Parts: sequence; structure tokens; C-alpha cells
Amino acid sequence: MNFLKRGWASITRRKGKSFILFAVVFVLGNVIAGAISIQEATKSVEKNIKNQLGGVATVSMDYKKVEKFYSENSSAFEDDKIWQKELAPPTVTELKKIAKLSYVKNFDYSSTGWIETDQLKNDASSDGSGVATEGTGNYNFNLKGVNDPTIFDIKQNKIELVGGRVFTKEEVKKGSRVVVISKKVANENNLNIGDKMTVDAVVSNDNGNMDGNEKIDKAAKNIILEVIGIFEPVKAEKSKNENKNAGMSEFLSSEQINTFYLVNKSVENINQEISAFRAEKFPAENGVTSEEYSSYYELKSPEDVEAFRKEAAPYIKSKYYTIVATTDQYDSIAGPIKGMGKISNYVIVIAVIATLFIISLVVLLFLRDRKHELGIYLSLGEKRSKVIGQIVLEVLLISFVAISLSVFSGNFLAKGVSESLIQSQMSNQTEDFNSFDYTLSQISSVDLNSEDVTQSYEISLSPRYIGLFYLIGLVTLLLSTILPLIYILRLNPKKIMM
Amino acid sequence: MSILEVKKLNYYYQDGDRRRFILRETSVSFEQGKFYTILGQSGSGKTTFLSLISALDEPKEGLVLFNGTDLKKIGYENYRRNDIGIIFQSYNLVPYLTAVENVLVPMAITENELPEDQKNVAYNLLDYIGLNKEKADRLVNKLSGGEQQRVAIARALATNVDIILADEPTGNLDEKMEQEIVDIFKNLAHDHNKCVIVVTHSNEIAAQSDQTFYLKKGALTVNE
Repeated sequence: MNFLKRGWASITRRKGKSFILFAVVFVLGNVIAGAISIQEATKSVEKNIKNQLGGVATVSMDYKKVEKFYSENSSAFEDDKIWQKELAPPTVTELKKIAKLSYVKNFDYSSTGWIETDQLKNDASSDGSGVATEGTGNYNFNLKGVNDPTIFDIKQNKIELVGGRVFTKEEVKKGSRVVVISKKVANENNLNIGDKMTVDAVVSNDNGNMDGNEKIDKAAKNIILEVIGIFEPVKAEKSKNENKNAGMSEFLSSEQINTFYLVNKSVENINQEISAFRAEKFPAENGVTSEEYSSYYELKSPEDVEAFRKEAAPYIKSKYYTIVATTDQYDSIAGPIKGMGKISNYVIVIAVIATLFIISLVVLLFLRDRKHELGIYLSLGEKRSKVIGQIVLEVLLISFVAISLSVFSGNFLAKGVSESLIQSQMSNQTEDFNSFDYTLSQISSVDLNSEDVTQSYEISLSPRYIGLFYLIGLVTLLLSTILPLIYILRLNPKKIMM
Repeated sequence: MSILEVKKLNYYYQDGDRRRFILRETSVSFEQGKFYTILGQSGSGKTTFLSLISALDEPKEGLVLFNGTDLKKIGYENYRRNDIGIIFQSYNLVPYLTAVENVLVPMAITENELPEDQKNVAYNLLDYIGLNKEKADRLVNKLSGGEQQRVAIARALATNVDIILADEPTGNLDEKMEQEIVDIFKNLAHDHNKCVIVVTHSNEIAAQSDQTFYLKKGALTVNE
């Protein structure tokens, strides 16, 4: 009848006490298991969604800070010099320095521009939407420069080349007047690969402040570009749900179609030419022009975003610019999930502490009842380590069964609790159309909304969850036997037995 | 040759600057094959004496020798494990174990060489003490007081030790049962060459022992 057999006999024959310990561990186990289930599910949904979003980042204006700046300096609206001094965008040199960080897999930067035309038709011309404002050209086009000849948007699967070719290094270097246009624009204007496309860049004296009675004067400058490639936009990964920003998506799709891909130097030259032409035709409208570059950093992993953000920050000299990443979409949408993750963290900590106290007290109370029995073993010469071993074995065996059952029941409970929590939070959360982030839409090819996040939230019995729960559960129980063990170490068999 | 010897044993409680002696300069020796009783009034120090020779407590001064070796050297726990069997007044059995399982407990603890079929040995011991197999398989709290004390005696004998120490073993039993237990002790001493030391306040039991010691005011006196 060694200590192991005694322990087993104690468990099976003192059923009432065993059941009480079992019940206490089972209840606390369910709380811990439920919290771990929720925590694991929130981590998993974050990882999955962020992987789906990909790790693309850009240096973008920090609109909140800029807004604050303007609210504090109202005169800055009319003063271009203040704009240039305070809100000057990062230079190409700064952007390139960031690209050298170890997290960056691919990098490109883009000079951008805007052209309005009367002759060259854009895609919006067919349904009338997106037609330029009255007063300047009829049709709008975006100019998007590239430094990487393979075109970053193709790599990012935002567009695919359906005809012709991409740029050569030589063309990038020289700033050749070659262009990659969308299939729809090509069809609209009967353009083919190798054709010379005439872009009638329209300028006017409309500075946006004219009243309805003033006459708008226009002038056009022809810019000739050789069509070398034709692309089609890759349909953004639609959310599984009805897209609540459908109108915005349509606008973005139209913008993509009406984009000309050129090499950076070419965009810079065109911008300067148009600016000079406007200055020549309408000297009164001559404003200050400045070149601004958009940057695109494809990271090795979406998990690197935070580290990249931290290390890139010192390279951005202007405090009005910041790093924006595709994964920010998750952070802005997944409020309820993140909230639950936080709550589950607190619950785990509180439940573990409560378990430590409660199990310690329960075992200690049971040991006081068994003082005589323990005294018998010690008076017979049993080693204290084996007496301790018997108690630990009893606690762990009962707890193991309780924990093993609460793995499933806790998981089941977590499902119910988190589903009702998410539903109640979702019903309170209204979709904020004004929070649409244009910068994010420029770097992300995934169209995500809060329902996508909540739908990918799933409580599951993963091996990681089971392993983590057993680890936390058994370590907590072992720790909670420390106090009772001190009690055994202090037992004096003479005082008990005689 | 004495199997157990006590030399100039002192045991006291410190009360401020004063020492309140329970045992003072006590010396005595015990031999195998004899049944000893230690008599004394309540509070005379009988139980303290037994706790010292059973290594449940440590003397303040003096020596307790087992086969000529100080118990400190042997180790109190080792001594209890391998060299003595103790019987208590209130039986002190493990309540959720059967009688035979209670006897098996010290057999698993001792380092003494025992026969392989320990369960059979335990049944035989209980049978020798007067408990049949049916009773041996009962939980001890389903047995009478006398039967429980028999289990406690069998447990003390289970590790094949030479010294049996008993603290008021018949204190909770009726006269008939008391005599049966005393007969067992006499038998163990005389037929099995054990050294049986019983602490009691019963003159009837003392009268049946081979030698009686009286404890009075911390001193042990002999009455053959």
C-alpha cells in the first residue's frame, strides 16, 4: 500500500471530498478555458485577417494632426508658404532610407498627377459619373509614376497586364513618354499597343472660387504618349458580405481604370509642362507647385508591420506624416473582437489568481480534516516527500479529470458568450462612412468590413488552445498546492498522535 | 543484552528562567522476550517517555540507544520505519482503508526485508490477532473498537520489528477485550521474542507484565 495506491484509494473512497474538489476545479477551469478560447480565437482572427490584408505600408499625411494644425493656424489655408514649410512631404531620399529597413521586401515610390481632357475620353464618360467639374476639362485622368519598371500594382495584384508590356529600366531612367493604360480607356478611344495617344491637357482660369457669372477661359496642351501596355484592374477581394461602402468602391474602381501608369520622370515633366502652360495662359492663376511622392513598401510579413512602423518613424522628419499599413484596416474595424481579447486577458489573470486562492484553501481545509491520517504515515516513518507526493497526486488526478472536461465545456461556453457579445456590440456599432480611408484604399487590394472580421471569428478546439489550457491549468494547480504542502512540512506526529 | 536503553534522559519545558522537568536523569534498559509496563498517574510523563523511546520526540538531554546505537545516528524517521511498531490508544488507523490495507501500509514504508506475498502475510497476521478474512476486508471504521485495536497491533507487527510500543492500548476497551489484548502482548514477548513496552495506568495489566516501571515526579523506579 504505497503512497500512490493510498492516493488512489483516497480519491475513490472519499467520494464526497473528491467531488467537491472536482467541482471547484471544474467551475474555475471553465472560466479559464473559456477565456483562453476567446483569446486564442481573437488572436487567430487577427492573424488570418492581417495575412489576408497583406503587409503593405506607405508614408501618408497624418490627417488628424494636419486638421489640428489648421484649426490652430487658420491663415495657413491661404498661405502656400506655410503649407510648404510646415507640411512638406518626405523627400525621395527619406523614403529610400526607410526602404532599406530589413522588413521591406519590395519598394516603389510614385510621382502623381492629374489631367483633365476634352477629347480623350475616360471610362466615366459612358455612364456620366465621375465627369470632371464644369469649367475645366470634361474627363479626368490620374497619372501614376513608377520607379520599379515591373509596376508595384501588378505585383500587388491590383491590376493585371492584358496586353503589351511593362516599362524597361532604360525608360525609367530616361523618363520616356510611354504609358500603360486600362483596357476600357483604350477601347473608349480606339487605342492599341504602339499607338501614340494624344492627351489634350486642359487648363482654365477656374480656381474654384469663381461665382456663376464669371466666364471660364480654357486652353489645351497636347501631350503625346506611346501606349506600350494595357491593363485591367483585378477585382478587389470583395468581402463575403454586402459591401456597405459600395459607392466608394465603385469610385475607386473608376479611378483605377482612369489611371495612366508612366515612369516617374515622365510624370514630373508632364506636371511641370502643364504648370508652365497654365502660368503662360493664365498668369493670374499661377500657384506654387510642388512634387509629392507616394511610397509603397511591401513587407516580408504582415506581422512585421508594428516593428516596421516603429523603426521607420525616425526617418520621417515631418511630424505631419506617418506610416499607414494595410493591417490598419483590421485595427479600425475589429473593435469588438479586440475588446473581447482584452477582456479575456483580464479574465485569465483574475481566474488564475482566484484559482490559486480557492484551491489552496480547499486543499488546506481537506488536509486539516486528514491531519490524523498524515500523522499516522509520519509516525510509521513515511518520508514527508511521499506524504506530499500522495496529496499532490490526489489533487492533480482529480484536477486533471476536471480540467479535461472543462476543455470542452469551457470552449462551448466561450462560443455562446462571445457570439452574444459580438452580436450585441455589432448591433451597437454603426458603419461609419466618413471613416473611409483613401490612403488605405490605395495600398490595399482587400475590401474589408466589420462583418468579415466577426464572421472569421471562430472558437475552435485547436491543439494550441488545448496545450495552453493544460499548461496554465496544471501550473496553477501545482502552485496552489504549495501552501498545503507547507502545512504538511510543519506537521509534528507527536502532537497529532499522542 | 538490552535492545533498548535510556541513559540519563532529561525532558523539560522552559518556563521563563525555570525548567519544568517531565523526566529527570532517567536511565533504564529493555530486553527482548519481555513484556514491560510503565505505570504512572495522569501527567506523570508516561506518554512523553513513550514518545522519546518511539522517536516521535527528541530528548533535551541524555541518550536513547537502540542495540547500543544512539537514535540520532540511526535517524528518528529510519528508526520508526524499520525498528519499532507503535500502538496508540485511539487506534489511529487510516479510515478509508480496509483492515488488511492498514496492515499493508507500514509494509510499503519499511526498508526491512519482508516476504514477497505481503498481502497474504497481512491476512495471516490479522488472523493470528483474531480477525478473519471477511473482517480483514472491511473498512476499519466498520469494525468494533477491539477489532480496530487488533488491526493496530497487526500493523505494529507487520514490519517484523523487535520492539512493540503501546500507549494505553486498552484504554477504550472493555475488560474482556483488554485481557485478550494483554494475552496477545504476553504471547508476542514470550513466544515471539519481542520486546513489548506498554504505557498504562491499569494495575491489572501491570500485574501481568514481566517488569513494571513507576513514573513519579519525573523519576522512573523499578518494581520487579
